[in-house]
Amino acid sequence: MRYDVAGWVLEATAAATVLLMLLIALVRVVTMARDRRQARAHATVLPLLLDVTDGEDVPVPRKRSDARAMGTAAAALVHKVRGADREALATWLRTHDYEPQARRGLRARRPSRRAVAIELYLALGADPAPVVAMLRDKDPRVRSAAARALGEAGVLEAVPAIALAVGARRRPVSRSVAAMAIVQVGPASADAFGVAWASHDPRVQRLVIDTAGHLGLADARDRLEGALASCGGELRAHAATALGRIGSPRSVPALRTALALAEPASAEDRAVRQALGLLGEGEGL
Amino acid sequence: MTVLADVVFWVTVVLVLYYLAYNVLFIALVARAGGAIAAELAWPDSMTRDLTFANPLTPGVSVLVPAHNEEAGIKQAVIALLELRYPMVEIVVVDDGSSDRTAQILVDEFAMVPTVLEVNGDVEQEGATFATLRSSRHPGLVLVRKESVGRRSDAVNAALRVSSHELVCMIDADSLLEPDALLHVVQPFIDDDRVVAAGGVVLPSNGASVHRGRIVSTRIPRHLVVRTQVLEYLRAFLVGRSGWSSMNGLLIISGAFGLFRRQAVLDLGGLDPTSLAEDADLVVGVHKMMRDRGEAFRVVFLPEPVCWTEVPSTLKVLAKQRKRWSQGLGELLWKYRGMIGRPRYGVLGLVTMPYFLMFELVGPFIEVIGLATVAIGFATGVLPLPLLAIYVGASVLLAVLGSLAAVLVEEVSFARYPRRRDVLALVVAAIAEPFWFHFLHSWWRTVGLVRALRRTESGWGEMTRAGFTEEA
Repeated sequence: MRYDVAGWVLEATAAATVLLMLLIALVRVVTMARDRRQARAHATVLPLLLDVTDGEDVPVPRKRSDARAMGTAAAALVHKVRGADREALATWLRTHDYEPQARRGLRARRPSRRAVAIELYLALGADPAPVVAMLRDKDPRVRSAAARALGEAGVLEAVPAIALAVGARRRPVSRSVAAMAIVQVGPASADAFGVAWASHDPRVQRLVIDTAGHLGLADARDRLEGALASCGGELRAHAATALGRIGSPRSVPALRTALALAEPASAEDRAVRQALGLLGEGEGL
Repeated sequence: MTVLADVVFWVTVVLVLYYLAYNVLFIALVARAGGAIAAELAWPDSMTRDLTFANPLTPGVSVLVPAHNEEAGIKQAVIALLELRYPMVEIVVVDDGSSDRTAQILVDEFAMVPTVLEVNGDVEQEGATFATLRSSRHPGLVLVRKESVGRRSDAVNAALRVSSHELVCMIDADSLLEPDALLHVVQPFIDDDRVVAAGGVVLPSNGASVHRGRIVSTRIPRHLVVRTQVLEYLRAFLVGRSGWSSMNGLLIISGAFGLFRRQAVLDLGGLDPTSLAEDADLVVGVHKMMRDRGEAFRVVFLPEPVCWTEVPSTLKVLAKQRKRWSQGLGELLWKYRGMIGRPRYGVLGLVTMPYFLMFELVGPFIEVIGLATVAIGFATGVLPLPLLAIYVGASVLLAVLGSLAAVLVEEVSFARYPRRRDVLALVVAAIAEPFWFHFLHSWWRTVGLVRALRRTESGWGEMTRAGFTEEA
C-alpha cells in the first residue's frame, strides 16, 4: 500500500510536469497564431482608417474580428489626431453604430473593459455625462481612466467634477491624475472650476489653487488672494505659489500682508517670499 | 541501526512536509501572479503613457546610479538613461571610489565639467565627496565622485543628497532600462496617491545585443550558469514579486530597478549604510514607517517595465553574490524581527516575512541537513524506498513544476524570448536545476546565514563585467 501511494505521488507530479511542458508548447503556438492574426487585422484596418480621415465613406469590414479591430484602432487613433481628421473618425464611428457597443462596454463587469469603452465612447464625441459619472467608479484605475480621457477629450464642463472627485470620501481620484487631466483640458478661465472653488475639502482646494496657478489663470487672482487670507498655512503657501506663477503685480499687497502674518522660516514664509521675488519684489526680503 | 533508521525516517518526513509546503505555496503564488499579470495586461495603457509623457505635470524622476569599477558597461548604461522616453529625468551617477576608468569614461564621453550641487543634509554620507560634475552636453547628467566605504548604500545616499525630483529611481550601473520603463513604473504613483514605492522586472542581459544603450535582441545565454539565473529571475521577479505585490506584501524591490517617493526615503534618513540588503531594507523600512504612522500606502510591482542587468557568469562570482544576499536577508530579518507575525504590519508581517524566514533564510539550512540525512539513509539502506520516492516527488518534481509554471506565465504574458529554442532552453534549465544548482544554492545560502549569525563584515559585491555586445 505504501508503495502504491509513493508511486501515485511520483506519477501524478511527473504527469503534471509533462502536462505543463505540453501547455507551454501549446501556448507558444496559440500566441504566435494570435499575433499573426492581430497583425493581419491591423494591416487590414489601418489603410481603411486613413481613408476615413481622407473623408471617404468606408464600410465596416464584414469579418467580425476586423470590425472589432477597426473600432478599437479608430478609438486609439482619435486621440492622436486633431481637427478635421478627428471629426472624420468620430463621425465614422457614430455612423457605423459603435455607440451601443461603447455604452455596453461602460457597464462591463471587468474594469479593463470599462476603461477601453471609455476611450471608445469619448472618441464618438457623444455626451460625456456617462463618463463623468465614472469618476465615481468602484475601481480606482477606471476612475483614473475616466479623468484622463475627459482631459484628453478636452471636456471643459467636466472640470468641476474632476476637481471635486479628488475630495470624494469613498472613491477618490488621485490628485495627480485630476491635475494632469485639468491641465490637459486647458481651461482659459478660473470660472471653469465652477463649484469646486466653494469646496471646503483641503484636497480639492489645493488642487484648484495649484492648477489655476499652473495654467496662469489671471481671473483666479481674487480667489487666490482670498485663499491667502482665509485658508490654513499649507494652502496659503500653495496660493502664494500660484499667485507668483500668475505674475500679476496687483497681488503684491496681499502677498505682503501674508508675509507679515506667516511664521518666519515656515513653508508658507518661503513660498510667499518666492512669489514676491517672481513679481519683482524680492529686494530686501 | 534502529536509531539511525528512526532518525532518517523522521528527518525525511519533516523534509517532505517542508518541500510540500514550500512548493505548494510557491505554485499558489504563481497562480496569484498569473491572475494579477493577466489583469494588468488587459489595461489600455498605451494612451495613458502617451498622455503622461506629454503632460507638463508629470512628476520628475532622479535616477540614482551607484557605480564601483563599472568601466565595462557605464557608457552604455548612461546612454540608455539619456535615451529614456520620459519628459523630466535627472541622472545622478556616483563613482564610489572606483580604481578603474569609470569616472574618466564619463568625463570623456559626456563632457563633464565641475559644478556646485545643492546638498540635502537630512541624509548622512560616510565617504567624503571630492568632486561634483555636470555634463555640458546633457545638463540633466551629474557625476558625484566620492571615497568608497565599501558599501553600495553609501553611494546611493550620496546620490540621494543631490537629487532634486519628486521621485527617485535606483538602478545598478550595469543595468539597462527599456526606453518606456520609467513611463510604466511612474504610472502607479500618478494613479494612486498612496503608492510610495514601485519596482519592475529585472532580467539578465548576458547574451543580449545592445545598440545605443537599447537591448535590440534577447536570447537565452548558452552558459548554463547564466541560463539557470534567467529562470531564477523569472521565478523571483515575474512570478514571486507580482504575487506578493498583489497582496501588498512585497518585501523586496530590487536595487537594480526601483522607484520611490523621494520624501519617503528622506523621512527614513536614506538607505541604512550598514545593511547588506539595502534594497529590501528600504522597502521594509517604508512599510514599517507608514504602518507606524497609520497612513494608507501601497508598494507595488509591475511585471512589464524591464531592466536588463548583467548577472554573474561564473560559479565563483555567483557564490559570492548569493552568500552576500543570504547574509543580507538574515541581517534584515533580524533587524525587523519585531514585525514578524504582528498583524499591525499587514500581509508583510503576517505572511511575507514568516515565509522568507522559513523558506528563504532557514530553508537552505534545513535542506542541507535533510539532504545529508537522506543520502546517508539511502547509502545505508535504512531509508524506505517509498519515502524516498515521495521525497523526490515533493522536492524535485514539484520544484520543476513551479519553475515550468513561471515559464508558462512568461510565455502567456510577455514572451520576451522570441525564439522557440530559447523557450526549450528554459524548460531544460527548469528540469535540470534541482539536480545541480539547487544543492549549490542551498549551500551558499547556508554559508550566508552563518555569516549573518556571526555578524561577518561584508562590502560591495565585486563582479567581473563583460559589458554589452554592441550591435553595429
